[in-house]
Amino acid sequence: MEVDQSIDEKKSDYRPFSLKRWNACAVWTWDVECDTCAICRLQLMEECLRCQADATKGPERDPPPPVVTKAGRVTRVANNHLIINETPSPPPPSSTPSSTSSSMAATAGSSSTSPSASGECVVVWGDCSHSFHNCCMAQWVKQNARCPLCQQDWAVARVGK
Amino acid sequence: MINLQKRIKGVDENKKYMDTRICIREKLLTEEVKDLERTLMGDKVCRLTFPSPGVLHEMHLTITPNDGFYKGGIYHFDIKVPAEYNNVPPVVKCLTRVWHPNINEDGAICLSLLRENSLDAFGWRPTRNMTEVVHGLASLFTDLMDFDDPLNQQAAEQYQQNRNNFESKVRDYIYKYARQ
Repeated sequence: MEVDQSIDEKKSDYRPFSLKRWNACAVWTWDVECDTCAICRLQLMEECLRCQADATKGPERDPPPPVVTKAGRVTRVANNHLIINETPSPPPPSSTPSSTSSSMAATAGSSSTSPSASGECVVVWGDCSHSFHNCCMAQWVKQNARCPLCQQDWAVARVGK
Repeated sequence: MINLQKRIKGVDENKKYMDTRICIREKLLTEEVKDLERTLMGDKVCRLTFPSPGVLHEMHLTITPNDGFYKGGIYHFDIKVPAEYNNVPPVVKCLTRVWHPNINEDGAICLSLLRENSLDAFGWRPTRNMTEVVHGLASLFTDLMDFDDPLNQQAAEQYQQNRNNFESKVRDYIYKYARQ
């Protein structure tokens, strides 16, 4: 902060000093006590252990559509699916190889925006401000309706990402 | 949950469910066992082994207390981790015969954190892990010994009536059953 030394005392609006410049600083954190699910011990931003286990076995039975998470990153499932898609489809006879790949990319881009069931692994916050994967907590609440971290009665405050 | 209609069609939902549960258990145990082996490194009281190679959910725990009534005894425990881990606690059985208020002579153990359905904060919760279980079992021979909520009623009563008799029976059991 720099203080203006040249004060015109004859002026009626007398000020002992004036602010010439200032730099604002801000800090931010997630509004959660911790970013890992204490039940499955994975990051809350990722899918829970159960959903990941289901996803790894999933493609053999019924292949899920490509998934883009809300954070915007393409998941592994989506990458696998893109590879599967590209191999069997024959290139249009009239087009050159370069135009084929660009049309493929367009198809992949449009389909990856569609929502899917495996993208529904969300986070749940309790009144006690502890957070878990909704899937993990749903399993535990069936057994014991209290927060595993603080033992308070479990009441859902918010569900989402 | 079994869905009868799907069962008739040959869809075994239970198997699919169990496959997922087992997959979860294996992933949890891989991490927990790594931590546990690190904590037990150089530990003279607890020793953990895996009877079948590559099977993480069956463990053998040996506790050799270095203090208290049970000093000098060698106690063997069989730990089995159910497929529903970590919603349910591991199942532990004491293989060594012991005169103890919280372990009966059949090897059943009364330890709060191994209780699946508990109304207090001391029971099992998914936030607990194998390290807590092993330390809990080791403390059962020292500071977690509880004469007020006994499983072996006779042992607890004997302790309350005559401490020396209790102690000599413990030594007798160590001599007879807990030397290797």
